[in-house]
Amino acid sequence: MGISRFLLNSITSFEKLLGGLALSGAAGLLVFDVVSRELFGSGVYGAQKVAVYLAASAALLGMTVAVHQGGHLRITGIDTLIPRRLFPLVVRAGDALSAAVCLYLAFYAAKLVRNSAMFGEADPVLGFPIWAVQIILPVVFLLAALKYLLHAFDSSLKPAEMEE
Amino acid sequence: QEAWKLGQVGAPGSGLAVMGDKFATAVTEASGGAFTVERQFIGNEQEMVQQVLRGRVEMGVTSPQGMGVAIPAGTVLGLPFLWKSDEERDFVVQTKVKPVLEAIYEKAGLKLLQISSAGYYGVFCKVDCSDPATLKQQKVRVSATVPSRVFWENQQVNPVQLPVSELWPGLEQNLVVAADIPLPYYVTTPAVESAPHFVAAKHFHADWIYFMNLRKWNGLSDEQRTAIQEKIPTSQELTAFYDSEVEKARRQLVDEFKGHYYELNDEQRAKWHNNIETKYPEILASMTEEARSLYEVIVAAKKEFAVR
Amino acid sequence: MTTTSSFSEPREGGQALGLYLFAAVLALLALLGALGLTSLKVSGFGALIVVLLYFRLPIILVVGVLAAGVHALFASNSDVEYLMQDMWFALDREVLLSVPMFILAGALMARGSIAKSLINCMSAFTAGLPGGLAVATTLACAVFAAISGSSIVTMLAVGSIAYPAMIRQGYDEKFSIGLIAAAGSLGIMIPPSIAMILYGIMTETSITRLFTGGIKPGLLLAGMLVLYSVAMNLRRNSGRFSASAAARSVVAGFWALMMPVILLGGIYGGYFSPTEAAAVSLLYAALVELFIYREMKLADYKKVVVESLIMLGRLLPLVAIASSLNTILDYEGVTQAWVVAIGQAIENPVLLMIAVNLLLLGVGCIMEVSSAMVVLSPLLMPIMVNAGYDPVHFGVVMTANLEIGYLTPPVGLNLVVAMVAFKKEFSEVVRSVLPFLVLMLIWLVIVCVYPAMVV
Ligand code: NA
Ligand code: NA
Repeated sequence: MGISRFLLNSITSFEKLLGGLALSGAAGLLVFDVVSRELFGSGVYGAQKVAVYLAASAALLGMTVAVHQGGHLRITGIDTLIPRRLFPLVVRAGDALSAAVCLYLAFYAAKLVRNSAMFGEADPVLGFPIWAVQIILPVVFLLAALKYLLHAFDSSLKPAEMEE
Repeated sequence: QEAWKLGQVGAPGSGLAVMGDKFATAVTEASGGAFTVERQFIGNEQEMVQQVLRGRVEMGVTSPQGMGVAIPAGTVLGLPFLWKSDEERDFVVQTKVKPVLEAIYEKAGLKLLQISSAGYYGVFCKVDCSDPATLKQQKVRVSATVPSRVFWENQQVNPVQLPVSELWPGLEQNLVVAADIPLPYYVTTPAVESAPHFVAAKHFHADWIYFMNLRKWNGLSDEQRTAIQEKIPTSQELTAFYDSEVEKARRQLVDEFKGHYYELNDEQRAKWHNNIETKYPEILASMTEEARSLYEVIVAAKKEFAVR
Repeated sequence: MTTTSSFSEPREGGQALGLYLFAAVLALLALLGALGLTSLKVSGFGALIVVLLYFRLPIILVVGVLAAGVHALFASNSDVEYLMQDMWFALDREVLLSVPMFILAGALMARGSIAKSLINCMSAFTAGLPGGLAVATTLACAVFAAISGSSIVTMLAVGSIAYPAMIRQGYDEKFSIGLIAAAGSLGIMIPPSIAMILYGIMTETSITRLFTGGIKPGLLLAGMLVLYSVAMNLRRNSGRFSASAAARSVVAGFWALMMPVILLGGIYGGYFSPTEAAAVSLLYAALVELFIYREMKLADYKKVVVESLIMLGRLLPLVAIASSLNTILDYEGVTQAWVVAIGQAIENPVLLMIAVNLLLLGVGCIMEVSSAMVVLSPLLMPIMVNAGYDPVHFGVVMTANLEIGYLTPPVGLNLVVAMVAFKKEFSEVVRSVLPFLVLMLIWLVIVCVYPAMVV
């Protein structure tokens, strides 16, 4: 197994693990809040807010998981306009372009996070700095950029567009 | 001519929106034609504050709780039963707290322009709850702040955190039997029908803080800055206007919606108060160092007021 | 899960750019035109988008560049950083929590046995009725709408179970998608309704009366969808109704059937909020699959979680980007300007009602329901009340208009959800909902003309 493939698979597995934990954690917290309220007469302070952060992180991780697994939705109708001969080239250029777009978005996401830290924005419910959660935003765009870049270098690494 | 925005949470037509318009008009006049200010509804206070910090929205107005995302120190003004009287509050906030906050705001990249009042919180219930004992072990909607949590724990309710949009159906379905908001907001919600008993517990006070992006402020000429500070409505004007809104809402509740309004006597108020000061250390411990030193300022100023 | 995937099938040609791109470009041009911008900047930007599409970029990235471009080039006092800020604000919201929960619960039930049992029951009870399963799906949406205040949640919760079943029974794909998208939209008409809560708060109208006012129009639309389902499937052989088979399906599906009972009972009994109901349904589904049906293995759970993760990753970022475009529309005052223009130009109440409906249908194309409600209801309500309309009636009319907006491209959340959940091309989804759009427009006219149904 080549190093690129190994890298792609490990990153995606890690994202799946993290995202899966975040999603399950959000669900678990919400359920625990209800159960604790009905059985013990008091809900869990801040449970909803933490669940929101977990679910948001899960959604963003899901976005980059989809890059190397299952794929993102595309308007495929346009494919017929691409000459057969040029198709492999267009695919690679497209992945490179995708990487560029993700880097572009990552840059501004990083700007958002830097400013959040600079302004000292803190979650009013839980007290911790918002940048600590927001950091997931540039991270997922960077991870997506990396994966698109690897796809561009070796299109055999590219997953089939939908696996199920 | 630049078009500036004053971000605020009051729905169009509400007292808060009218106050926002007064403020926006005054600043527009003071700008000498350089820019206009229009009120912009932004439903989430914290989001609005974050936008003002970045200069996307130039000005804003909100409670210290809404500001908590950027100015955690100010949330100390949200301590339950902090004030003995309106006079005490006015003295302490305007002469002692405001200068301290101004410096804190400046450090955070914001210019504090004015502090007025958006009234006191009351408790509204499905049944007469002028005695808080009726709410013991009952499910009550608690907002996601430490002062709110501690205040309600002190009344031994079963606290339920709900986003405000789920509060209204939640009241109808008995998910909660009570919650707390200021009276003028209360009368615009379906709670007047599903929970028609409003108790003027006055446990929390909402200061109403006008502020703007510091870079925009520094970009103004000296004349413009002086003009703005002279022309904006005074704290007394804004507070007096809001007090009249509270009275209007009270009449509307009783006459129009056939709801119930309970003014509390000293004995009843003591039950709501329930020695909450003993819980202040717990609340303060959850706040920032800066908040705790602001609290010291408040304590000293309250003593000074008592002597006068 | 055996969903038919449009991706694995060979593409037929001639589909061109699809309705989506066309509508998106139109909407963008309308926005820019309204801002008084045309020219080089616009055409250059338009060309960039076409290039990105030609190089086969995913929709999420194309829409991301589109939104970034609007922030950087066209919106006043803006920056691409604000796109990120808006996206974050959109994700950082309690009301959105129910979406991941119902996606997860739906995936779990579909892979496990609950969905199967529910479908068996629905089929057994509607056997003999033409379009029986379609009728059952519509009714399930109406029932679910009574616990959920949101349309996408209603559509996801029912659709993830009903769609595969309808396909298995041989229903037309387009019909199935259109029906689920349309019936799912009932979520904001049958109370509780997030849209009506927003209208009530923004215009100081009684939300209780709005909720009551939505019941009959909601049931009317459900009824129309039922009739349409029967009419479209008259020739479908749906077997014969057998009381014993129905009874057996109830016994076999007892634990699955308890799910809606627990959800409805929990919410109306005051045990949990609609958002929490999503988490509770997830817990219940997990317990039933784990301890009662016991067909799922740990590996299956992992698959369910990853499946849901990817679906979320496709859906929520799109919703978040759309919400940023809505914020721009709000801050630039585009739609507000339209309202002012209409209010000044038209005095005749009937013409006004028609104009406002057209405006709202247009707005429904480019704005998401909640933001449109917040921005436009305080502007429109006084104009309509001035012209003699009842504020509650107008609230329901406005909700109905924006409900239709769930099905109109380019910004139609039910379309996006259908695209993600049923793995279909956007243009295909759009074509699927067209007949239902016509049906809903007829319904809208009825709701406008008969205020007695509302107040
Ligand atoms: Na509903
Ligand atoms: Na739409």
